[in-house]
Amino acid sequence: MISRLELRWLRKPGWARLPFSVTILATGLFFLLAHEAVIEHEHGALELYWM
Amino acid sequence: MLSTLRMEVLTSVLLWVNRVHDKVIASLVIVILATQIYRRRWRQFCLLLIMGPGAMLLNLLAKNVFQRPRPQVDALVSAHGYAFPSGHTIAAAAVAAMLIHLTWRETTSSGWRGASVVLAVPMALVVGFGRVYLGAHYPSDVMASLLEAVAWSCLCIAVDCDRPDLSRTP
Repeated sequence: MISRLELRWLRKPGWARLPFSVTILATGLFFLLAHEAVIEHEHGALELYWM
Repeated sequence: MLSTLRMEVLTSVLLWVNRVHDKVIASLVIVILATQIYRRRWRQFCLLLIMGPGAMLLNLLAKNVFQRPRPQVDALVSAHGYAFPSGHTIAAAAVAAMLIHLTWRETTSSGWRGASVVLAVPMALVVGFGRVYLGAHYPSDVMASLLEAVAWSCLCIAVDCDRPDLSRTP
């Protein structure tokens, strides 16, 4: 059973789906980076080597 | 490591970019928004207002959530507040996104569209690189800013693409 939201999404042309897909991907990468950089290595131990 | 590779010419160029970039960004935002008001494109005005200045407000929120201190290196510029994500970079990236979106919306000419990407994307990348080079940010602060700008701009564009009158156009 397809919900109305899914149906609305499927009816969109391909180009109209792209921005929302990129948003989800970029948000996921942002939080992954935030976790790695800020929580795991708070004081930039890895990054300071390159600076 | 990066501080040992600093070159005098590049340093002076990036210091100049760092000094003028906020004025250029503010001018571009004002010109873009004023053009929309002049042309009475209220929907587009609201979208660009949320896309550009909205991204900067989102960045302030993110800075206060993560509260990462600045890197302890010999910085060439004074920087205050939290480091993650970079405010200068998101301002440049948000304005770049505004310019690209507006150009792609207003014209079908591939020349103009290509030119907007070729001009706007390096602008954001140079500002981001400059912040790391000058010691004001970690590289991850700049990368996070770019991701934040992409996510926010695409979300605004996705909402704009959700209009019923666009749902059947190719």
